[in-house]
Amino acid sequence: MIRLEQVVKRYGDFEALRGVSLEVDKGQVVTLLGPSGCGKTTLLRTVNRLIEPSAGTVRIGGRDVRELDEVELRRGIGYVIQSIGLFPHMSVLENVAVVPRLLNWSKPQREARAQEMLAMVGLEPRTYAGRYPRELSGGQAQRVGLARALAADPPVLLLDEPFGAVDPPTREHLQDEFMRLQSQLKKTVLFVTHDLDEAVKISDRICLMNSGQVEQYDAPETLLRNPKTPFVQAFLGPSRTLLRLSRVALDGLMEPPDGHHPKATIPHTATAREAFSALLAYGCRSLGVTDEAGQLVGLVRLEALLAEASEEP
Amino acid sequence: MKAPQMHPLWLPLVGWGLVLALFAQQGFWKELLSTLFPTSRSPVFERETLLNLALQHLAITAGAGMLVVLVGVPLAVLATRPVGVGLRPLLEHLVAAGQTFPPVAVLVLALPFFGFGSAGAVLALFLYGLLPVVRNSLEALAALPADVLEAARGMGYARHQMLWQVELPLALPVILAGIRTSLVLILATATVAPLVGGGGLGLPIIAGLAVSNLALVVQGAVAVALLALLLDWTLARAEDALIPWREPR
Repeated sequence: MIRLEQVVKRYGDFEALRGVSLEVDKGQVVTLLGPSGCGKTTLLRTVNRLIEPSAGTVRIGGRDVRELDEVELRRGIGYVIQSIGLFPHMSVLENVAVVPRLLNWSKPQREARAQEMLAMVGLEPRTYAGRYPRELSGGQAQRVGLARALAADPPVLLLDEPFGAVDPPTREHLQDEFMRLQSQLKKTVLFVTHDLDEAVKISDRICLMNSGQVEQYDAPETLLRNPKTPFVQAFLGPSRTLLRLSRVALDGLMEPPDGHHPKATIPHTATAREAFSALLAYGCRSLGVTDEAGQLVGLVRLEALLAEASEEP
Repeated sequence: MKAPQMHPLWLPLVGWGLVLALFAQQGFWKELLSTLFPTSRSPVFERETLLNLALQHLAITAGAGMLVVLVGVPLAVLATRPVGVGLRPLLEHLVAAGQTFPPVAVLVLALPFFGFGSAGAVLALFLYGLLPVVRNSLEALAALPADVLEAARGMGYARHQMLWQVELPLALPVILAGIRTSLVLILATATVAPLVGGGGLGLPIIAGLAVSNLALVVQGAVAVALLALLLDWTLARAEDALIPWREPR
C-alpha cells in the first residue's frame, strides 16, 4: 500500500534520510521507531509530501505521490501530530469535520459524520461537540485528533507520536483504544514513536531506524528474538526478552488443570510477561488460569514460560 | 440551564444612544458650562450644535478608520505571504514613519492636494493610524502556532483556504486589538481636522484656544473623551462577540 524506494533527504551537507526503502502492506500497522534525530518523522512526512525527498520514490497504492496534487493527496491521508494542532477557533465538532468540509461534503452529512467519529473514539457527542479545544484535557484532545484524522475515512493514516504528550496511564488507554479501532477499521498505518513498549504493543512490523537508515525491519517478535545489529541490540536493551513475552498470549502455554488448588491465578487474557511477573511475585512454579467468569480453565508452568523465553534454537 | 445570553453589543448600543442624546441637550451644556465658567461670555460653541459636531467627528474617524483597515490588513497579509516577504521591513519602517510624522504637518502638506475640507484630514489621520493595525496584523500573522499550521497543511488546506479559514481567524484577536488602538487614536487626533477646514469636535477647542475661552475648550475636550471611551468599550465588546473561542477575560 505504501512503498518507499531509496528515499534520500538532504539538508545541505546533512543527510537526514540515507536511502530508505520500506514497504507497508494494506491494513498493517508499521511503527517507525528510533532515537530522536534518526529521521523517522522526516520519513513519515515524505509520504504526504510535507517533505519532498531529494532522491527516491514514495508510492501509495502503486502511484508515485509526486504525480498527485499535494492538496488532494493530503485530504486522502489521515494525519495526527504529537501536539495534535487542533484549531482553537473551531468547536470540537468543526475540528473533526475539517477534512469532509475541505472535500465539500454537505453540512448535515459532515456533522453527522463528525458526531459518529466522536462517539467512535469514546467522546459523547452531546457533551463534547460544542466545546472548544481549550476546554479539553490532553487525552480528550488526542481522541479528537484521531477522530479528525479518521473523519473522511482515509485508507492511510500517518501518526507522528500521537500519544507522546499524555501521561502514561492515559497513553496506555489510548493505545488500547487505537488497537480496538484498528481491528475494526483496518487502516494502513505508519506510526512514529520513540517508545519501544508502545511499538511492541501496537505494531504488526517495526522499522527500527538510526541516523537516516533502517537498521532492522521485522515483526516485533522477530526483532526482539533476533536483533541483527549491535545498534538494535543496544536499543532494545536488556529487557527485550520480557518485552517479547508481552506479545505472547497464554493460550498456547496452558495445560489442563491438574486438580490441585493453585496458589495464585491469572486471567486467560493476560500475556506471558504478566504470568511470569506473577510467578515471581508469588514465588511459585505454576499459576492457575481463569476465564471471564473466574472459573479455573488451566495451568501455566514456569518451565513453559522459560521454554518460550529461551532463544536457543 | 444557562441563562439566555444577551447579545454582547446591546449595552454599547444603549451607551451610544445615551451619549448622543446627551450631546443633543444644547441647553444643558450651556447651563453647565456657564456655571463652571461664570466669566465666559459665550460658554458654548454657537455656530454648530454639539450633536452635529460629534457626528462630523465620528464621520471623519469612520472614514480614516475604514481606510486604515482596508489598507492595513491586506498589506500585512501580503507581507506575510512568501511573495511579499521582502516587503515586510520596508512596510514596518513606512508605517512607523507615518506615525512619527506629526499629523498637523501632514495636514498642512496635504492641503495643496486635497484643498480645504475633510478629505485632507481623513488622509492625514489614515497615515497616522496605520501603524497599530499593520504592526499587530504583521505580528499576529507571523507568530501563529506552528503545530496548528502544520496540522492544517497536513490535512490538505490549500493556500487560500489556509488564509481565510485558519490564519486570519487565528490572528483575529491581535488584529482587532490593533484596530481598536488605531480607531481610538484617530478619534482623539481628529481634533486637528479644523486646521484644514474639516469639522468635528476640534472646532470649539481651536476656537476656544484662539479667543482664550476655556469653556469652549472644555466642551470639545470632554465630548471627545466621552466618545473615545465609548468607542474603546464598544470595540472591546465587539472583540468578545467575534472571538467566542477565546478564554473569557
